[in-house]
Amino acid sequence: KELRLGMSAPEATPWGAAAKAMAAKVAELSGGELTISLYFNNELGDGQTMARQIARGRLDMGVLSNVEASLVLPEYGLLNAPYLFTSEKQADCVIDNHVGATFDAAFRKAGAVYLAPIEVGDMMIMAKSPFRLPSDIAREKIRTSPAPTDTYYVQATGAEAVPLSVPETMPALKTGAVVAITTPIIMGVAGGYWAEAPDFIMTDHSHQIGALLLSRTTWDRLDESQRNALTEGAKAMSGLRQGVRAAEKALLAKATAGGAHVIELTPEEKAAWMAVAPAAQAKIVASIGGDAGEVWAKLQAASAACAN
Amino acid sequence: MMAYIVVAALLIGDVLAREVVGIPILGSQSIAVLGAIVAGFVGLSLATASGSHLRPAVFDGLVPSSLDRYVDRGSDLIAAAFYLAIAVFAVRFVLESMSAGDRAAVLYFPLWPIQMVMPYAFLSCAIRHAAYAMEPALKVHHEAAA
Amino acid sequence: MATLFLVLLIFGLLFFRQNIVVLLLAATAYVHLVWGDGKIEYLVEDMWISLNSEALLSIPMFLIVGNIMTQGAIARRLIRIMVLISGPLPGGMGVATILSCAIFAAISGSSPVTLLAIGTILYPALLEQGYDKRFALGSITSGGTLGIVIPPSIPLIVYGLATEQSISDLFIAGIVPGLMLTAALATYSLWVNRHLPSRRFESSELVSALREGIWALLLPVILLGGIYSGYFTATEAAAVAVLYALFVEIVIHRELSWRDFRATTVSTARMLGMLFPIIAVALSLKSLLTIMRVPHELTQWIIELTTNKYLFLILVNLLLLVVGCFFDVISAILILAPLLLMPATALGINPVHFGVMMVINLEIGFLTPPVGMNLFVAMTAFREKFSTVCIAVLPFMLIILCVLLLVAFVPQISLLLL
Ligand code: NA
Ligand code: NA
Repeated sequence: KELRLGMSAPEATPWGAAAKAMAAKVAELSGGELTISLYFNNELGDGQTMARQIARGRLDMGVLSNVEASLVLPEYGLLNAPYLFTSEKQADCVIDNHVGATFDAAFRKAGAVYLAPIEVGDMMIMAKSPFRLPSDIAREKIRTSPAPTDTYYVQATGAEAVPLSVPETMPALKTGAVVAITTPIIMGVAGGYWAEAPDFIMTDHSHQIGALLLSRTTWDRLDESQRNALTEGAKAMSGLRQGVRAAEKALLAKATAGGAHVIELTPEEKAAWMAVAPAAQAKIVASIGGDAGEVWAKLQAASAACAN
Repeated sequence: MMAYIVVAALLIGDVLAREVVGIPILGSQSIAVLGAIVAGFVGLSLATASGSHLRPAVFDGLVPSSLDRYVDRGSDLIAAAFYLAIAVFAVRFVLESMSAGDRAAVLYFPLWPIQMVMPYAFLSCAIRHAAYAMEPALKVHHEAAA
Repeated sequence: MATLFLVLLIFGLLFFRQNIVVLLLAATAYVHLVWGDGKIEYLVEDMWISLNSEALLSIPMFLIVGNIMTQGAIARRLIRIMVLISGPLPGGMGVATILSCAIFAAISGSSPVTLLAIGTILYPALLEQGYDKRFALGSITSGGTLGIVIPPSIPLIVYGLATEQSISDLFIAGIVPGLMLTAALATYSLWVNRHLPSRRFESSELVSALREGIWALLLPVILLGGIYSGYFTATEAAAVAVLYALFVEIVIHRELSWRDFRATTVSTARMLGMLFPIIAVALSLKSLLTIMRVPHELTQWIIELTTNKYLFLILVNLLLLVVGCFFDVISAILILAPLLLMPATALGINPVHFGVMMVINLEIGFLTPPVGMNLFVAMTAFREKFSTVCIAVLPFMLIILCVLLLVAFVPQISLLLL
């Protein structure tokens, strides 16, 4: 049986490598009975389209970003809320021990099987000039991804959020329509935005968690051993954690060598960025609606349990 | 037409909100896109109504012109049946979308009410062609030939 | 057997005088049934997806602007100025057409949009000034494609994202080839129209035309200024243009009635309704071909065929020309750029140079049947036969092809400013 897996990332990225490892593992575990065909670079349509097609059963599987997976289950977007996690260790602990329990059933109900969380990496702000505090960018225009989490956080900092799609981002930086952008580290550096925005403010305001989703329609057609092969094989995606962090380091080093500046914040400066998060979090929970309040309480409890 | 006014108003509203008031309208672009989709499907049935779709006329000479009336009626009948079939599949698509909970980006509202424009557009094309098959005089004649 | 039935189906529909939309949709539905997943719902979904794109949003907007300008007085007044300025040069308006396309292209980043915005004003003007219809159609339809080479260019951004190349470098690398293309097309217009009579320069007439046309002239100024100063994006510019054009025609020129405006939006919706099913069919077929890995296998085949750098470049360009016939630029880049770049860099080809070459090559795809976006847009907007448009763009296509060869084999052209 052949399953189609679509993703936005190119083949030569940590996500491409992890997907290939998973496909190999699934083939091995199922004794060749289940093969996964990989389609990179949005070959099967953009992430939003893939997300909807998984829920509807046209596409079998997808490696989706948090924003895309949130189209299947809006509450999943809460994982992106600013400073839900204050350290990488805390994030890892929540993802390893609590995320499945929080979202498995809800994804099932929404038509998808949640096979694995997908590490996308930390967020930073890339700017045309160096700054360290939210007050430095008051009323400046900052590009956000067109999603509630990112946009409401930037608004809470006192800056002017300008939600822009990826193709519109570079022209906006070039013309000065925005003076900075929020972005996951890898996408920001690899996208070449640092030619226009060479100052990287390492706010780490959110730890991006995507999802490996399988269509429930597909799941229902598989037998027990095939399902086991998939759930076991999906564990190969946990290798992404190392892969993504190594890629972040390598890309930041490459950009620094090319003239970009990485601005690490002091604990006091970081505290100023965190101080504005609660207002944004409340607004995000309200805007998502549905079970968002309940899920948010669970995530905060998980986050607290992982604090040490 | 309303769809376009909504699209333009949203885009301009977004510019004004951002540049003058300083607060962007989150999701205005994706609503504008939905407006353009509705306009596209309404346009499909408008184009059918005015007979402005291009039509390859390569085989027109095969039939003696005395029989033209009958071929044209058959043509409308076939087109009506075709659009009716597509309308049925469009209904099935919307039902699937409804049960899967397809949502709009950013604002997360369900898409199926807007997707209803597809069965509507195809059905209106089917009805139009069926009417032409029964009463050819209804047809507006400015077909372009390619 | 299945293929035979497809051919029979098409012939049957042709015999029964079905229009192109029914024909294409029925054939694609059949393809979905036989070679795809067997669900016609997917074709319906692909029609939805084909319209569900922010990039496409500006097309109906610029269609409306074009219609408002032609219904009202903006277009007429702009053309008068253009004619007076370019009059002293034989074939001057042909050059003006190409340059207008290049300038507008620099704003919109989109081929069909450039075509529409420039074409709705200049196509009737060229005909009125005695230019050959074939030249007028060809220059506007192909001039529109300059939009994707001259930065900002959406395809170059996509290439940068797909291959992890610097988008700024790609933009800079696109400048010289873009200017070369513009110069080549402009030179051809001068040469082919050298026999057209030139007119004496009338300064007093120009001054009065300028005074009359000042509000119309402000339209491109506002668009360009707004985009380059960062007040709005290219998509939003289209909406601002609608608002401005309406304001000028209703309040200043007073030559557009509410009924005209209604008629304008209806005809725009109709144009889009004719256009998008064709785009939807292309999208639907593309996804089937991708699932069957047709582009991957073609690429693999080329890589195995040669290790000579120049032969590789020739083969890649041939492949891209073929792919460009069926795929849109964005999908072609997303699928092929990562596949082709690896062997290309192994042969010592600069990735930025390779990207610019790819985009120029795929630019030609806008002009090649069966799926040539600009061909369809021109056919729809100017109400000409598909075959007429295809023939009209031929000489321009050859020129672009020559520039492509230069850019492919002389990497310095793209890398000059880097
Ligand atoms: Na451009
Ligand atoms: Na083409």
